Amino acid sequence: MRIDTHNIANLARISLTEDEHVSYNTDIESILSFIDTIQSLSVSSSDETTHSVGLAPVGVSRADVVTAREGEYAPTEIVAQAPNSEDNAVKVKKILN
Amino acid sequence: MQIRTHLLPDSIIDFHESLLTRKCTVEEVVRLYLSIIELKNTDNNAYLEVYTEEAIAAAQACDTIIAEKTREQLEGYIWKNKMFGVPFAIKDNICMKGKKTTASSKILENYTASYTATAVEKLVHAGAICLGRVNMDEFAMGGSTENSAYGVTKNPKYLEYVSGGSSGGSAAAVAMDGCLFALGSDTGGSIRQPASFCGVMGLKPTYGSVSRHGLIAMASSFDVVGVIAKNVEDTEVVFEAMKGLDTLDSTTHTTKVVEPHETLPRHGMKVGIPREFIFTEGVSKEVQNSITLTIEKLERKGVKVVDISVPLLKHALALYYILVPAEVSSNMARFDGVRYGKQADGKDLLETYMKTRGEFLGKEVKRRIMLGTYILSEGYHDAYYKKAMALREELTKDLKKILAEVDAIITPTTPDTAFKIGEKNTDPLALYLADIFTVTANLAGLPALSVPFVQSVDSEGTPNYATANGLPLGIQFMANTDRETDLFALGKMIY
Repeated sequence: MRIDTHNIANLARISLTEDEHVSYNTDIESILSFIDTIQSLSVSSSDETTHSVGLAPVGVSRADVVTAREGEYAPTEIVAQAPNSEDNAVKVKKILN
Repeated sequence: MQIRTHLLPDSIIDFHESLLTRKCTVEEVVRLYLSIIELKNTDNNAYLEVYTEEAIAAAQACDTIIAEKTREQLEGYIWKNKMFGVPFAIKDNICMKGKKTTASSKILENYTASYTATAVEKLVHAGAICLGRVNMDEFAMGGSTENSAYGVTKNPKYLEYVSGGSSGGSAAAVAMDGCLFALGSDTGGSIRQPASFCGVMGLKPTYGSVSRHGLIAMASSFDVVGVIAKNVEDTEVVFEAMKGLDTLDSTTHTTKVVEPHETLPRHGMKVGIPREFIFTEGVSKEVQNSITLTIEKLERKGVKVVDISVPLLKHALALYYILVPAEVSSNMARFDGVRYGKQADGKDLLETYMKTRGEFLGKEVKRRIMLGTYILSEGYHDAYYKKAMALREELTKDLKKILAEVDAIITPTTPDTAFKIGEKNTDPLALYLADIFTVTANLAGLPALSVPFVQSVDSEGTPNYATANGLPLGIQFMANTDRETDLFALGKMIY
């Protein structure tokens, strides 16, 4: 077994059943054997892609000011989406002891 | 139920012409689409939710505008509001304020969008009417909509076949006459493949030409919002209406306004064909035949077809399945059950994260997160991710060199026609291989259009796709950055 799915699942923050561990192991092995074909290729360019389109100027920025119109992105509305909230704040379980 | 199909428009131009001549009202047409959806959706499962009340109200508002205008005034109004009254559908990963947006996942079952996607906002601003949201593979991961948490969308042509994916609901909605056009998203073929499977037009625009603001991210350097429609002209007008710079998406760029004459077929256009990539094992004879016949047709119309060779093309799929899961594993980290979506109860925060994701994310999504996490993990990052990024750059350079010489590269959209529901859902790799022709455009950020291949049309107007199972297939053109105009010109030559 090449892949430690328990370690990967832990890094990915997903709890998996034992059946899922078995099936993902098989699937990922098979996908890896396919993508491993690139290992035989040599790379001539040294630079990595930073953006898939070579257009300049790349990256639009805007001024750091609130542009939302009245009623847009209302905090109460956004907090209301959280499964747990209190006093217009998202509630989470205690992290520190 | 009696459906007055004579009112059904063939195109946006046709629809606007009917409004100008007072042949129908917007409300009549919207109600017609709603009744078709009601009739067909139980079988098809293209729509997940229909906005009946809002759509009718919007249609009535359009009719009030019409009533106040002379023909000439209305013509001027439609010229300015190019989407006036046009009914459309949105893929379930594109936000519309106040409406549920679930990405067809259980984890977002209760999520209500708190803002509207830029692409949708632009279309609505130009007068379009949203009829509802349509089905997809969960978080756009898949090629058949079999990964939706809300059931598969069946192919409108033959219900035992898939509609493709991940924008399967969008393609099926257009093909079944459930709207005039639909929005989809394309990360590796998610617009073009279902368009090909359902016999409709599918455009994946240049990366960054349409804002991703309000599109639920899958792989951010690949994703783009695009169009599924019935013909080239409609695809063009929708794309024009929604493209452009958006300060809410830093990867967008300015695109120039295109005049209608710029997308007309030109004499002396040049198309490149990578033969060794098409006439090979794994590509069906029917698909190869469709390419041969299309090339003959293009040549008859004065297009010069030249052989090209891009050795890296056959590795594009491997690059894609390294880079996309890597980006997926990062993008999907936000679904942790804290700020939105469903939450499973755990004894502490970590267990809450793990249980939430384990329980409410689907099989394929978890598979890709696992794969991406592995690829980015210590000891593997350089061998996979870094190497694939360098090769992505090389592939892009190779393609751009060729696209400086030819207007477009022609390939099939898919290696075969649609498959049967359930046929490929046990082997993920088999399904990935169906993306062989589409992923390249996303790796290089290039625009691509899937055009239905039609050998002939009978006296009733029924197309003959020249396939044994009678299902459609698509021809794909891929052009240089921001050269959608060339795609439209070529599309008009063959369809």
